[in-house]
Amino acid sequence: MKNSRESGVSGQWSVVSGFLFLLLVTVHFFPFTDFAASEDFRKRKSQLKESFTANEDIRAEIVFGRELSARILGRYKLYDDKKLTRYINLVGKGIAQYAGRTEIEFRFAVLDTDIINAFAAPGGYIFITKGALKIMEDEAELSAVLAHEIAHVTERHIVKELNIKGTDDSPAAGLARILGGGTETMRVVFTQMVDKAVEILFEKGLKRQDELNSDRMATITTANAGYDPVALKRYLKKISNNEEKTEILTGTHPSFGERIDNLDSFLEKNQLSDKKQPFLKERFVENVKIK
Amino acid sequence: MRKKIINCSLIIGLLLSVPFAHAADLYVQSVRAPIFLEPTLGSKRLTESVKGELLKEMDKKGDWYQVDYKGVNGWISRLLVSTKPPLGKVSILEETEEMLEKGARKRASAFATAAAARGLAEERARISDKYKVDYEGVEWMEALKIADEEASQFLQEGMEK
Repeated sequence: MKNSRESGVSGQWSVVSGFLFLLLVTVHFFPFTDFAASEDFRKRKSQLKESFTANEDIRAEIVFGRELSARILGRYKLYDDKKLTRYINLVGKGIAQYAGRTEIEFRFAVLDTDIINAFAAPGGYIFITKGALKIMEDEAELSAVLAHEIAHVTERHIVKELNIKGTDDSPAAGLARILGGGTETMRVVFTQMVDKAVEILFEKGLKRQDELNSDRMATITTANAGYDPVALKRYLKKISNNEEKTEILTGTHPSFGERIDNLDSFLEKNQLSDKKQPFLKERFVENVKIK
Repeated sequence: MRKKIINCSLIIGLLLSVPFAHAADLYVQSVRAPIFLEPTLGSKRLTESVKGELLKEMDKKGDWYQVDYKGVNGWISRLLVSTKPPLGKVSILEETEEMLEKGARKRASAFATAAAARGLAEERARISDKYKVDYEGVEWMEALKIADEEASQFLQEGMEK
């Protein structure tokens, strides 16, 4: 009787041990992230998927960006000042080293207009207006505005907004497919998409969340590069009083109040509100001389 | 009975250790990536890792990974690392030139993409249905070349002033 009870208990232990062993094998052979995917892990997974599209998708994104840039320059003339453009590029490329997507060559140019704004086209083409430069006081502010535009490129906001899907669900793959088609119809579709992107830039704007996210990412990039992390907030506060020159900006972005509040909480959360880092006012004044 | 309890505890112990066994190798994606003492941007910057370097993930907290970098134990932003190695520079301009020079045979789709890029230049007089275009301006932007090292040195000089 005792033996039979012992063998019964022993059998139960075997079942429990066997179950645990199977569980162990399952967990080992199936990635932990998939087994118990938290929201955070899911986000990371999707980020990885989008950060590593094939070279061809990136090329398609650059071709798209060139077309969009040609339209931006068709609307606002290029400010043909090599010395100033070189300075803007040195600052822009310097901070871009602290952002992701190093596979892209970032290029920066100044637009000959007094409106206060900046634009980003996919593939790394970034524009800042003469009006925006006039109101800035230091290099930290310039780096923060450029970093906001860099974030739109690294996060592929415009390409995603166009809602085109490739075979692997990547918007850039969709572009590559359209370009790869090579037919006249595909070319027309491509041109229509670029025109839609122009509407996003100048009329409709991106998603409110994309803009707020770009402000936060710009603050991270600016701080990581070593500039004053409060620079973007200082700049937004300054331009918020200039209704006339910020008409397009306010029509396509969340209100200045919402953007400043968003930055305030982000700076506070990351202990950046009181962090003292260089403004580089002198170097900015030396290089940015606009009439 | 004691032996069974020990066996069972061993298996449970192994199960609990699984998440740590899968701690990832992380590659730096940005050209430069600072490593901080605490998982916050406001904390002390310990050192900087560079693009392509491999970091061992030790822990994770929100948007931060705790890593070991050349004996320095610190925290790096999730935005600047990934489990895959970073890509090299991609350009449609050099690619197109290279293809024309060498007459290299590439995949049809890649050729079509590059050809489309070249087509932009060839059809620069073409006007969009809706918008005016300036391709010369784009080429003016592209003609300005600044190496990563030069931009990096410029930034460094500013920070040391």
